[in-house]
Amino acid sequence: MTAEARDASVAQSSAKPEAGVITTSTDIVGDALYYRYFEQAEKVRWKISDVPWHLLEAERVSPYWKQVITEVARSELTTFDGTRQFMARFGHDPDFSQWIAIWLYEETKHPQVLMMWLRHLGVDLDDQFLVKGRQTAQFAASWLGTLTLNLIAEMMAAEAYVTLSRYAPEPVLKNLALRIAGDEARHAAHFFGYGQRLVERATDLKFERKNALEVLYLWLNTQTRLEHPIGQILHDVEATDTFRDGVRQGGFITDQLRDRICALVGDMIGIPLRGKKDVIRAAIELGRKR
Amino acid sequence: MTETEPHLESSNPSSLGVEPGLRIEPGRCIRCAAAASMAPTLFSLGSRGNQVLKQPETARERALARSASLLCPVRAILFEERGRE
Repeated sequence: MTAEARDASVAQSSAKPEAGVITTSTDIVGDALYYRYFEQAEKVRWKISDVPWHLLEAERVSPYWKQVITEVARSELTTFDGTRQFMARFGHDPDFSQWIAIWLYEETKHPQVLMMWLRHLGVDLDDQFLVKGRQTAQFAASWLGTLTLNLIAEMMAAEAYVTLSRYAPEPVLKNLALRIAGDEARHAAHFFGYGQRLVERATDLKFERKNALEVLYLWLNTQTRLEHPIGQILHDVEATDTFRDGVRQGGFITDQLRDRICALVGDMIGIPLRGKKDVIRAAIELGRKR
Repeated sequence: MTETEPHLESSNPSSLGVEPGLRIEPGRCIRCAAAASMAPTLFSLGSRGNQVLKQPETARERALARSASLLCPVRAILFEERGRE
């Protein structure tokens, strides 16, 4: 086992987090984040029929781009198993588990619409494509670690789709990518909100924060290769010559994005973080505290 | 092609010659509702995009404004705390 893999196994273990730490409320409608998030999501909800399919310009799409979008669609299929894990482990939390229903609905639309775009270009995918794509990584050892993992993944996905919308050779794909980028960013905001609420209410905040820092540290060290499906697909796409030559030599994960994610995780867990050194320092200080 | 494109980069209000504070860069918002979800007292989502309802006053509001700026996928939310570099 490499050091990297060993670190991953520590941060992303199958240990079950403590139950009932986010939502303990006597006024679920007034107190739950779900209602606010659902209302905001309703305001910006888009339908597959909203996509301007009549503007599609098939002749602009090379086999490379068809392959890239096939892989992106595959990575989006992991929501199914992610939801199964969320419900199995956090189903006791009525606020969060209600929100997961929105997340599943919106995330399920992403591979659907990408597969429709591919079908317009003559690429048909069978049911085995769907079934085989339904896999995901282990969740983190703690609640906050899991929310951190998903916050990072949604931020990476939003960045990737904004990049895709900028460089896609075809107008409908640009349109789709920006719609999906917006969904991913909103999901990041919602994971962030649940993380902040957890910090306010956690029974073992030190354990939660420590695991969140472990997840962040792992991501900072492995770049895109976080044990999460979006990390895997970004890594695979970045490895192609066409991507490096035509899009970004440095890959999806820029220093700017790395700094933003680091600071945002710090905001979520209530510890100022401006880079990897801060993450290490914070983890050491947490280790010292009784 | 290069990594940076002018309309998606540079989020320092001072560098743009404007007063520090919280604002939305015109034309950038993609109406994702992330900021209004995070800080409904600071942002309102209209039909044409995000709007700033008020400048952050408390430490909590300033922290949320900062987080919303960090999270915005197209760097449409610009925030610089008054009195700071």
